[in-house]
Amino acid sequence: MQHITRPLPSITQDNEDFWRSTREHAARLQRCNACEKFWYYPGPVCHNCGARNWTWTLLSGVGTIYSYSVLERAKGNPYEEDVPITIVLVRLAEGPVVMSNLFDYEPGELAIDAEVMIDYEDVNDEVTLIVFRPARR
Amino acid sequence: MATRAIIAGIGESPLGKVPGMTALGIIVDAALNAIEDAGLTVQDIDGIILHPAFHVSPRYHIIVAETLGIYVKTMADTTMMGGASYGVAIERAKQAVESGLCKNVLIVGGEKLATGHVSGSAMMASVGAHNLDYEYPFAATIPAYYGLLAQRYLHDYNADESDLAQIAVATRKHAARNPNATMREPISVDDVLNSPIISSPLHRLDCSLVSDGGAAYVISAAGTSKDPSREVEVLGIGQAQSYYHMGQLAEGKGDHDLVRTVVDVAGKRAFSQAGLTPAEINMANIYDSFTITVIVQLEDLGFCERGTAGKFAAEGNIDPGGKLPVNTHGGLLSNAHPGACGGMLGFTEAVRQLRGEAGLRQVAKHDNALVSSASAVASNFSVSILGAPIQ
Ligand SMILES: [Zn+2]
Repeated sequence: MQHITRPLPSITQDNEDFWRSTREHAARLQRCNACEKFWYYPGPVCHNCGARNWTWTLLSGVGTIYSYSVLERAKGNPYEEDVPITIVLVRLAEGPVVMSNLFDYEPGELAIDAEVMIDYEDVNDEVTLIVFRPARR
Repeated sequence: MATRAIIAGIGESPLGKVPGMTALGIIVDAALNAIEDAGLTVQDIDGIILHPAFHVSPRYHIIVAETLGIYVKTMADTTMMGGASYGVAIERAKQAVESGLCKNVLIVGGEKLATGHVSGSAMMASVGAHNLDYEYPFAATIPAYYGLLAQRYLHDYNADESDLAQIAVATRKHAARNPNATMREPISVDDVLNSPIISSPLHRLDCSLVSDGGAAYVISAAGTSKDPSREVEVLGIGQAQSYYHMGQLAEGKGDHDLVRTVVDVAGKRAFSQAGLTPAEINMANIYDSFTITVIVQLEDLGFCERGTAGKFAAEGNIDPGGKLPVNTHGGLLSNAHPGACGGMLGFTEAVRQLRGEAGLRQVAKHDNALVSSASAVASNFSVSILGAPIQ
């Protein structure tokens, strides 16, 4: 996998269950017990209805590309030397849209509505990020 | 009779590369120029608004006021809305003057983005608009955010990169008529498309400049400045904010999503107060952090149909002499972009135009002007409709 020098997220009481699930390569998001919707990013209340009860629920791992941009210049950022970097917004099958990176794709596979699947990048012992690859049947 | 707030004075510091002045020096210069333009003295100022991001203290508005020697203020505020701050600030100042809270509010900003040193990551952190936990780890820069917006726009409307480029080309035509603009050489659509990609589909010439500079305005009660025949009217003003996290912005709500922004909400309020329709607007200074920022605002404000802003520009509508000249000073794309206060330059230019003081680039009909300011991936907006002095 392409190396990217990553700024790291802060792990807090609001998101530690999420980051534990990605470390286990089995990503879960909160699903509201009241309205049954998923939301992203993790937080202390349902983003849809305001309920404060949820269940950490395993994701199917599939989604489609909502938009993309290939970053070619990033002067002054920690990943300045790692460009080009393919940034994607992926609409998960569960509903939420997440920002991530797409790896190991052929030119035609970087397209809006193209199907992708979750992969994992272990950045260090604490942080594993959700990344994506094309979903090939 | 009820007090009516007006723009009494405007000021700018030197713009572009200003290595010989500190940020504080730039801010003071712009402030004093605006106070002088209004025919007031520093002691007449009893309110201040400044956006302190990029500065050494979160209370930088107080430091600026104490540097100027303004001891007692009855309002000292920050409007922490990034590029939209200095439009939002006018709404605050207008309310303060019309309610009797303040007599003369100084709105001032200034930054050293060109010869200071703000790295990408420091900028990301200090701007505060972008998600450091769930977006920045994936190498999202500000141009990348706008690249994601632009790519989705091109997809939804079957448009292409040349539609974006039209905005840069038209803006440069205006800059050519501004002797103080940083970039004045004419450019073509091919020049834009041949400039390097920063974050696809955005090329270098789709992106705004990085500049030093500052600007200021003074909001007072009508009839109280040195020369009431130069007082510019605030006919209508509105603001609207949505989300910062791009995924949540994309999921949207109701009629709005990533490419259908909430600027229409701010715009409807401003148009309704002014009693004007988009077709009646004489000129518009539309916040142009990137070409795509102008495209979505032209459409969402109702100046053209969704998906047609590139064509609208290609037909000459936003050129000098066009139906709706846009960014007559050359905008952030070609004039100068000194950070969050860059949007102030759209106001100072509109005031010059409405007073008939814009020299070689004076628009023929200047009864009114729309000014928008925006920030954070087209999620914060302020829309003002200003009117020519009532003679
Ligand atoms: Zn819910």
